[in-house]
Amino acid sequence: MKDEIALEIKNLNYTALSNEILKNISCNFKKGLFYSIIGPNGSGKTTLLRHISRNLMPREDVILIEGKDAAYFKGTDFAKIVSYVPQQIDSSCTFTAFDVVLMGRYPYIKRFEGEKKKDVDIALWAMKVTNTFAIKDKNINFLSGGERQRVIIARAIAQQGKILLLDEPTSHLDIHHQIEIMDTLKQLNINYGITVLCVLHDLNTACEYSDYIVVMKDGKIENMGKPQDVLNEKIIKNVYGIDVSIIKNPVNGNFHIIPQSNLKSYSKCIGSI
Amino acid sequence: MVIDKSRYRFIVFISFVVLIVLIAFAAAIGTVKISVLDVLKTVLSRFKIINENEFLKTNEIIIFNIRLPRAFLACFIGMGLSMVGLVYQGIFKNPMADPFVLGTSSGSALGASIAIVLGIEKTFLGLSSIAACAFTGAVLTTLVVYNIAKVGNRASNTNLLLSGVAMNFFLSSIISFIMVLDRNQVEKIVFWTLGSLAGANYKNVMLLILIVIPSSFIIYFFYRDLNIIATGEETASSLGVEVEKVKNLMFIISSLIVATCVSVSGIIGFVGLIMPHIVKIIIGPDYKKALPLTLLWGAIFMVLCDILSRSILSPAEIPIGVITSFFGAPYFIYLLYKDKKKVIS
Repeated sequence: MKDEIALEIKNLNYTALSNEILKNISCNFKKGLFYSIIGPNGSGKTTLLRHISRNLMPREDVILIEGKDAAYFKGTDFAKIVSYVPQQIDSSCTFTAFDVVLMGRYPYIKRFEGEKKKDVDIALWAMKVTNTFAIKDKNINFLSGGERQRVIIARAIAQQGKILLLDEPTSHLDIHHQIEIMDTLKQLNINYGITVLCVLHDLNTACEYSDYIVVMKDGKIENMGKPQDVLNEKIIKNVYGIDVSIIKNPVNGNFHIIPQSNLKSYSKCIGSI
Repeated sequence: MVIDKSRYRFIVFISFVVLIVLIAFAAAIGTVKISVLDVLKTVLSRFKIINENEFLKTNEIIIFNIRLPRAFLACFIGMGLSMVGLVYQGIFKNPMADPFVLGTSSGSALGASIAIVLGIEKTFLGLSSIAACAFTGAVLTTLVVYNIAKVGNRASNTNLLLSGVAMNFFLSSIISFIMVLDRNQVEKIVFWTLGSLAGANYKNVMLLILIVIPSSFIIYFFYRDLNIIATGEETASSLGVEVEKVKNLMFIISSLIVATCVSVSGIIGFVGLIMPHIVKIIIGPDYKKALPLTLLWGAIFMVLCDILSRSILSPAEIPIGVITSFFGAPYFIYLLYKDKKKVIS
């Protein structure tokens, strides 16, 4: 089952205002795995994700979801398979956390019907697995950044999709909340077989949680593979232009990447003290 | 704030009762004083529920031909404009959006003025060409203002207000110019720009009911879409909401409502601003609950303003637009002030 392809991208090009943002991207994502997309700012990670989520409508026969052309899906049918977690949701609205999660059931509810008990149950279940049940009646404006992010993930889970897309879910959070969010995602991935595609900035987070890593640079996929194959000093130097040392995490043996300052003399100076 | 179902129903019920009482008051107050009790008696005898003697005949004419149509007109204009305010505030993600502030009202007044001056006062399938021009003006102005203000997918507060205000001035100057050109029609056009309920009759009321009631049902059935759009358009479309289609539908319905209101009463400012905002503070942002209450409170606000406009300087009448702006403009400033505090903290 794990070898089945959840998502296929064929020759994706995207040009905005005569800037080539995505150049000829082709890759496959297998079912039930955890993928991280990394790369420097402006490398096209978010644009790639927005194509997959259809916020930028892909052309025909470019993105295939479980073998079907994403360009031909009805909006609500697509939302039953692919759910998308943006960086932040609009902060001016004052819905309760539960209301927001229940919105995830939108694709399943017909226009002239109300939410059924099943929808409420699924929303509550989504809040339980994302550890947001305790805050369900709070106004999302009064939640901390980490809590709000988990509520949005809960909404995506309530969609009961098979593919979960996330755009830098941990970017504004402290390390405690970062770990909490990533653990939640990993559990969803393992327990429910949800395919996760996650844009990340932090290489170590990517290393720690991903089955596969996609490295992007200048709108192209530079490399794609298992973390230990993809993240080496040479590739990181090539993509990010910095020197790194790679050590092993003493607890689980995963790679740990330590970026080195360009000011060599400075570090020597520190060393001599 | 979360309000449970029974309390919400109670609030709706009380609001409805208040509205009925206010309409009765509106029928009682005026140059000829009629007590509220007499109003009730007249209404009941008119529908043959009780038998009353002859002296109520004059009252009956005053109440049924003059005051009640006017009260109902106020009621439905209040509903229509407040509903448009509620929809705009969600779609523009901006608590200060209102058909007057954003220039929609001026746009339809301009459309109407052009039709008056060109003399194309024809009716076609029951729709007057003036109303059609008012509608076109409303749609075009909304689109222009929104597109000037838009950065990416979102129109920021400042941009939206500035482009709305600029458009308002521009359109008003064109309307004034048209007035200077065609002095014969000045009176008619002044009515459009200042706003008045004096032209009330049952035909107008029926027209408004035909537009406002079906529109409110359509908007109600889109409450889930509107709720989700309020949390962000990108997430909305990833949930399968057809954001552009819903927005276009809402623009068309809103323009239709504003154009109809303007075509019977001229420009009445700020009505769409206060009530939707207060309702959302009390009931929460859910359109399903906010819409019915906005309709009721919008109607209450308008009927109240009409009572004030007729009774403060009685027997003289203060233009209704003056009263609504007297409440609306300070509220607008209050919203700006609150926004400023949010930036600082």
